[in-house]
Amino acid sequence: MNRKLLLQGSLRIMLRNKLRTLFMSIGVMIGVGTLIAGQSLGTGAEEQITQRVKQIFSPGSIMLVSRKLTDDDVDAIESQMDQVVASSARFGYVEEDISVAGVNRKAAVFGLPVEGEVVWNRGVTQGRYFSNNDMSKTARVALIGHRLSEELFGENGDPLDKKIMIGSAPFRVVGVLEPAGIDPHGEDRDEDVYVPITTAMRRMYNMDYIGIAKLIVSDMETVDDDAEQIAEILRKQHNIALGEDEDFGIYTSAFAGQVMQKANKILTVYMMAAAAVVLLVAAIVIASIMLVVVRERVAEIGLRKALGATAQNISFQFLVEVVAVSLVSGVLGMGLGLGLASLASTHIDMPVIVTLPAVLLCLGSALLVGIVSGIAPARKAANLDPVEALR
Amino acid sequence: MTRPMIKLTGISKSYHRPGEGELQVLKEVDFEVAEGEFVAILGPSGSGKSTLMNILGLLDTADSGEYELAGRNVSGMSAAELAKTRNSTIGFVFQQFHLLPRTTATENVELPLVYSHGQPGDARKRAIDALCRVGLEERLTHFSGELSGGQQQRVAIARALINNPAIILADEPTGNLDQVAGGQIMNLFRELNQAGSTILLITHDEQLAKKAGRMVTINDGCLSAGNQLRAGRDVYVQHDAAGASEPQSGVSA
Repeated sequence: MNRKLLLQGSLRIMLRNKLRTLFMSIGVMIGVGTLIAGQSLGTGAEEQITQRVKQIFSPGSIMLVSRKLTDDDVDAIESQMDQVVASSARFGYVEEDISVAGVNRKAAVFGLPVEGEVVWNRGVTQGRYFSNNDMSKTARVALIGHRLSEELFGENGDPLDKKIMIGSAPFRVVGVLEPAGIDPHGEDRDEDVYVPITTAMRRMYNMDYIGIAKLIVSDMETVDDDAEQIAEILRKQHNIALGEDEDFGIYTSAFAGQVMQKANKILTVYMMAAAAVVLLVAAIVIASIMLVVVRERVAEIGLRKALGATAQNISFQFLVEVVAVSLVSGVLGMGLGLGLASLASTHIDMPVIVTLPAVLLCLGSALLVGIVSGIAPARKAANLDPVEALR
Repeated sequence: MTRPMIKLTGISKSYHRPGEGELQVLKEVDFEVAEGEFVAILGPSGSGKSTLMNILGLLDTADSGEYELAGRNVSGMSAAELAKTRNSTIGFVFQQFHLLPRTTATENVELPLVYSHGQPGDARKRAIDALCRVGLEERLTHFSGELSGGQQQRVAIARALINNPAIILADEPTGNLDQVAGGQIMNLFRELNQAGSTILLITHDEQLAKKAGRMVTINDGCLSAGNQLRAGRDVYVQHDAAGASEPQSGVSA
């Protein structure tokens, strides 16, 4: 068989039946488009989550969460464990009304100490961070996220030294927080308000418990052992016997990463399941169109057999036609999916990352759809009796 | 007589028709065509001529009997061998032309080369040569739908010629054409025959059959040799009287 001539002929048939070819393509395009969009946005989200988790849980960090956590607890840990090199409490969050001259917003208010800038890995892009002076004076100063600043003072407005009302108390803005984006819970961390932790605990809410503290240990390899040691100290501090229910939680960066990636995997799996359904439908559509095409081309099949085509030649031709349409549609679908994903990514602030395995998965899926949907029509065509077909 | 291109010995074929039982279409047919001959097989509808054509064209196989084509016994060939033999040895011309739609004359003529083995890459040139032989050098890039019936049949004949077949099998080649176009096609066959092609024409039209070098009649599954022409003609006269002398479309035995 002269494959080149056959392929040229098949290509001509496809191109001269544009509408039919288009109908066969649409399903694969949508399916593969969904697949690549899901994969690339999923990979993007994974990368972004990893970045965000790193921002909160820098390597070697341990998070303590307890409703009964106090400064004394953190001091006890620091004094007993040399490997704890830094620590910072974070009080909050409490949702408050923030207002400036008639503009009113709800925002999460956190209390942070001076060390918060380094330990929580979030400083300022304008103005200054909190000082020791702010802490000792329980000063009414605030740092605000850039998006909140835009909402309160306009896109080009200067928030520094301006007065904002947190609830009914006036605060002076001394800085704009570094951007942090959307956190894994979907909260916009660029609308946060930070106040000195002393101001929050004593002046605003009159609380003794700090809520959350973050510790940095010197050796990230031994984080799990350190976490165990911290648990022991906290049990002693809180008078909890071994085996009794603990009133605190200890989270390491490794654990947080696992939780986040798991959530993301579930999302990716859903996208892939959706793509699989679309591709299945696409395969059924292509197979039914091709079965009609075979009936339409009965005389052609009979002629080809009369001219010397074997059943295998006929089956090969129809399979090639379907696979070619499916593969080309797959490539176009990838372009379409990536285009839409890029468009979406600019709106939802999520990067699009294309990986080779994702591309291979898409091409493989298109190929599989072609083969699966082509088998039945190809067999039907191959088994036609030329005498009947030419009648 | 030169060596036989076709030699049928005791070919029989019957079909099972639901409700009608066993129907014997060909009965112990013996038939020979010599190289370079132009033979017409004349027979009315239902005489078994289409079945004979299908067996001669290797599209169908006989229940019993021997078939030698171009010196080879094809009776025991596999489907793949039959396909290969069809491609290299037989050139088909059908009543309905069977050109591919939305395809140019040249592309249609190239079609048999798709299934040829070890052909050099000069398909285009050979297709053009074949089209020139049938007088269509002005219509090379016309689509099949843009050609008249006679031109379409010429394209089909060019397609039949492209692999230099041992024999051309033409089944009612003028059945879908008017008289003028049909006459031209018959003249073309005669020219090809004079140039050396062996041609087997199958028709129900006696006037057409008479233009061949030899005429054989088939009736009720039995073949009458050329020297029994008188009997065949008598049968045909009756058929004529029934008003079947007009070119018929879709005639099948």
